Amino acid sequence: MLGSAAQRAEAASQGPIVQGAPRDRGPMAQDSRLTTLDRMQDLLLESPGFPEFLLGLATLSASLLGPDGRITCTITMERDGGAATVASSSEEGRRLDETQYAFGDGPCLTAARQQRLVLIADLTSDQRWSDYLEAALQEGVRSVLAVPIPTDPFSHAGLNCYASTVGAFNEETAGLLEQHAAAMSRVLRIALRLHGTALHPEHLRTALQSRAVVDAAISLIMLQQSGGREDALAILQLAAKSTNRRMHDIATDIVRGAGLPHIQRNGE
Amino acid sequence: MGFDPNEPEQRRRLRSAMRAAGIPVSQLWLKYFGMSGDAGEYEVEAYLQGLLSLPPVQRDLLALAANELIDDLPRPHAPYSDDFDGGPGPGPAASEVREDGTGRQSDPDE
Repeated sequence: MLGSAAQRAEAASQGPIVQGAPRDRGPMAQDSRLTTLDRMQDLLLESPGFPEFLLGLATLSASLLGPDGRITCTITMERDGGAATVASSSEEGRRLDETQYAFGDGPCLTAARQQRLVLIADLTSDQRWSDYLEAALQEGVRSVLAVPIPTDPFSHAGLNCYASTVGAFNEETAGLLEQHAAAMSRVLRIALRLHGTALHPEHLRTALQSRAVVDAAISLIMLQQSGGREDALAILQLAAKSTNRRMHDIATDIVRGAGLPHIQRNGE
Repeated sequence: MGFDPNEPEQRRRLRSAMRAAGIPVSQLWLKYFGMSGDAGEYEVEAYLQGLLSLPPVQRDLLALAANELIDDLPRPHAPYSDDFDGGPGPGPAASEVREDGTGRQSDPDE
């Protein structure tokens, strides 16, 4: 079984596994009793929706590879000719992916399309995708590892990892990450089946971005009002209904510093 | 939280509005999620089928999401004959012709 194989590989190469630790963010070698596959399956069970599940996968991958936060992981999906970043552990990762889409090519797109691992140990000395690598170097990226995630025949997915140091990924990490991606593939395929094949990565990305803005507005409202999240959401809804404006637009205004909507609640 | 007597009708009319507009549940859920809805896709499906109850704020958010989607549906209107450049009447006077070739006045913020 994949999970135990990964466990055995980790134990053999990295020393004793720390017992009983809570879900600490230590490196892969010191992971707790839960295997990576267990954690991913928990994510699938606990995530209220597909976008949050994907975000959890990206964040989990980043924390496993680089506990000090130096590694960014993104998940790219390409479907019906449209590629989009469906999850990223940081905003920087999203930007780096989008640069590849703009160029139409890059290590991560190649890994997803050709379903093979791409490892660039040092961006300065790689001859491939020179335009894109130039742009990535300017963003401070020094090494890249892209691992395909097999899904269904209609889409390509990949896990992309960016690091700010040269040689952040060696053959060992690449091997572990391949196992990680294989586990992710099983969970991702289950998730895709559960959540419908009508999901387009571009729509998903729009929804994630919109949610981020609305969540931020809700937090601001919560800071100013004494109620909880549901109360803040109710205020935002009331503003949308009474002004006949889009909730996302009102949320954007709030985040940009516009005053909070003045709404008289019933009975006040 | 007790059973809300309005919930069944609110739910029924939401379904009916979605059906009339041809909006699938997955599209509704994604929009609702983008508006910070908390219920998962399965819960929303279950709510729509009457198997699950949702709090009023979440129900209203679903309604808002549906209404935004409905408002977004294309409803092209028919053009009038003077909506076209160089309509059936005399063309614009020479002095009114702008650099871009239309007789249209530009808005102040253009």
